[in-house]
Amino acid sequence: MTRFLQYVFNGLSSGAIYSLLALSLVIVYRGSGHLNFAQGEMAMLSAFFAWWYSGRMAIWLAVILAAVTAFVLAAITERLIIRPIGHRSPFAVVVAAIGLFLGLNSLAPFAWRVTTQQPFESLFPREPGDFIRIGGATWRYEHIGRLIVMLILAALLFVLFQKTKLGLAMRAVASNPETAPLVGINTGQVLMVSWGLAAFVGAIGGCLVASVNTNIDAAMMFTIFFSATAAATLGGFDSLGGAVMSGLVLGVVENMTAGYFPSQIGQELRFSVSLLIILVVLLVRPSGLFGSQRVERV
Amino acid sequence: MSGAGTVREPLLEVRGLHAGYGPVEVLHGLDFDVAHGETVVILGANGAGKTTTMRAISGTISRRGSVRFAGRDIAKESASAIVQAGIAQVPQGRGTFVDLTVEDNLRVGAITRKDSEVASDIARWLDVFPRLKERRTQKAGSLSGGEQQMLAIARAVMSRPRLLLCDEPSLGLAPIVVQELFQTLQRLNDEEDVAILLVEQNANLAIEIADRVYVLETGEIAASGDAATMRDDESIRKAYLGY
Amino acid sequence: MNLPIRIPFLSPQHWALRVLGVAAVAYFLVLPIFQDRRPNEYGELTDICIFALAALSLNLLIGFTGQISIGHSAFFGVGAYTTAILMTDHGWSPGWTFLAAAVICFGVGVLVGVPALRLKGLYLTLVTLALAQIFPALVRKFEWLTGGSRGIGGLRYEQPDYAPVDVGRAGRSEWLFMVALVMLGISYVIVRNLVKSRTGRAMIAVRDNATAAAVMGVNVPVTKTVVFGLSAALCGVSGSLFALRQTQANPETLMFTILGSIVFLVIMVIGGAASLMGPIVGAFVYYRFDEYTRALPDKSYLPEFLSGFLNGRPNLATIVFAALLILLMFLAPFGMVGLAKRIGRRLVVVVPRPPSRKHPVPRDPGLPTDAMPVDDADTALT
Repeated sequence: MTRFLQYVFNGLSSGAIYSLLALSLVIVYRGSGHLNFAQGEMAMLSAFFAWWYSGRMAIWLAVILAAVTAFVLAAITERLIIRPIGHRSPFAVVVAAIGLFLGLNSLAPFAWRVTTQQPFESLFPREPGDFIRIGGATWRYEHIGRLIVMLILAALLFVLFQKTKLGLAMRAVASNPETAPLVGINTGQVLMVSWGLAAFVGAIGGCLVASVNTNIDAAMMFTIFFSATAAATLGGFDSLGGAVMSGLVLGVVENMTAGYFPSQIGQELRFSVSLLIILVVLLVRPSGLFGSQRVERV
Repeated sequence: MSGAGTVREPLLEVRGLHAGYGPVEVLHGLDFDVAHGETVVILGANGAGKTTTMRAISGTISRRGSVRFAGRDIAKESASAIVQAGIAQVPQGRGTFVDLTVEDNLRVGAITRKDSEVASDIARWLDVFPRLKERRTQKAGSLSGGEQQMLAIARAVMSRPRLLLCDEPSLGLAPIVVQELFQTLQRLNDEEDVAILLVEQNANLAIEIADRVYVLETGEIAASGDAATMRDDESIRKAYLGY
Repeated sequence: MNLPIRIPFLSPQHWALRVLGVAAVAYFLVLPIFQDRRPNEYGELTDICIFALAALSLNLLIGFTGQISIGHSAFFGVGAYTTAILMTDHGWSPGWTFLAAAVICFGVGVLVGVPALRLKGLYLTLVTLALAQIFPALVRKFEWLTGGSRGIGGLRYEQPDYAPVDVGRAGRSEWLFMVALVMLGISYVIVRNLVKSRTGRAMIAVRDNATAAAVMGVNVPVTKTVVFGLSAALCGVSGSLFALRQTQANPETLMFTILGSIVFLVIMVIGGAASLMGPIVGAFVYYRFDEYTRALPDKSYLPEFLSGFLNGRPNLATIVFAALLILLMFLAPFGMVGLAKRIGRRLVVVVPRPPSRKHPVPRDPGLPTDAMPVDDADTALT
């Protein structure tokens, strides 16, 4: 029982990150119809910004500033790169996103002249005694912290989408981008905000990853991005709640399979569990577990 | 039919309107007016340029020429500015936001408004369209074609426009629904003093509620006149209205 | 002279143009065989052939399914390891390992393709992403087969007696180059025939429209899966060649990770995704450009501030490629070959000839391009 609980606690923590990245992916997909392959790398780069800023200020402030930086850069990217290329062909956008993936990944070591891991200050207290005990399992503050931050962000996003004009505009553009201008919505601005918001959320995710790892390097988001995509797929790509739930579920399932089958699966192959799950789900229920049943936008 | 033919400057004055898609020009210099509170109908067959005309006025495609609305030149304005100026479009095919609820669809219609009466307007229009009120929390995509058309109109009037652009509202609807639809449009025109510019293929019913009629043929105005004349003139009827 | 010059299909002028095109390719690729080059030059050319073959496999896939794979590095790796394992543990000769690699990769490709191709839109791409991620991890896990992190080394090959090359070390690299060239040529012929076949045309024309394709009598899912397998097989063969070229197979190799897949994609895009010549052109450009940017920071002609800036900063080449990729999507989404075709079309246009009694409908009606994804410019009327 203790072991089980331990896996659940750790799983919720890594799941929280999957949820955050999945939220980013869903926001972009709903807003502009594109799957942003570079979302993970954007998060990684944002974490590097936080690392850089933290030399001059408290870590929490650095993280928020980094998220704002991410917002701005992503909005610019949407306006200058994604949108013009999107007018040419959807294929070109996918290739451009892959290019962004490659470029952003290489940019971090290039810009900061770092080739090895760098230390990253933790956002939460992480002394050896910083945990609570439930049923014999330890739940460290930093893991609880990640979960709480994710839940807070998800709640804020929910309020944004459901209760504000901006949220309404974003939902309208997602639902019918042709009609949106007719009610006076500036679709271009909405697209930029979608990308910016997604990057903001992703940045927080990246920083949370670095925080628990207590270090930062260019490859840290690779497998996380994949599991996050799996979570978004599971959630149907059109539901924020679905993204959150799927992220947490996937995190727990991955942890358990890696924990109960350390030699066959273990840490290196844990994300393959996600792969299997999404393959099965997509074959059985293409709109995802939580998605609404409607014709998919490609 | 009300308020037609006053001596004021027309609400909408279009001169020399050219518009198209990329290298293809569809409208070759249109001239037409809509006076305050009028109902003007533009008739035309498929491909005549009806939807293009709507889009040119609402600012969703690029256009050349003079488009004056309430004394202001809107030919270079953005779509959202035009909505804020007081023009609302009911697009062809309704353009419903299918994933949003009925109520949210109405709310989105008022998204450019900065006043505090949006909620009361929503309540009012739901009363005018009781079927929409029944379904206010349902996703708009689950409504029937006729209901979605009503929703599209309600959404458009939520922005408190002075001019309503309606693009082939009867398309795909059963005749009895179309009748109800045109009655609603007429009521809007009479009671709310909203001018209506309606483009239609369905000449019969449209003429009934029109003050004046234009006929559009391959991007040019081929004939015009007040509704009674157009309806009674046999040669015009046979040539353009098909009966 | 009135541009564009219009020449009729299959006329002598047309043939002259085609011969010219072939000659240009031959000059760069085939001529080296007849010259005496240094071994490392042959090595470079071999690398170019390997990349071109991998990019060609991607080209085939996108032509038939309209979907991008970023998992071909896995097939590349499987091919490489097949060769390495069969040669060291079982004493196979290299040539037969190519066949084995092709067959195994075909199988894996079909296995992955059957479920994945049923998914819509970008899901195939996501699945291939997973594939690319999994491969190095699997290699490390199955140590008993792959030698784990240490890899398999010491691959040796010898040129056979009948080979028209020098003996000993000098001739070996030339021989490998010839083999790579032949493999590339065979693959090119296979892909070209597939594209021109009835099935091929149908698939390409209706790539995204399953109903239309079914109406044409083509079994879309089966064709897509077979093509995916074939694409994997071709990539596997290029991996085998790679293993020979490196004389080893090692999980640390970047080409076996997702970065490898991206390199193949970059090459395909640079060259042009809508043309079969694209991968070859792309491979040349990529290789030279890569060499150039790697050496750039140390070049003496760089201004002081620039070399100071670049000092100690890794990844310049990759960043440049990423930027290039994005720039290409702006300027030339159909790559250099697409660009060349556009420019060429302003000069010369081949006009299809209406059928008459003397010249009944030619076997190859329509535009004589190697078009795969339909390039809008390719279907332009001028």
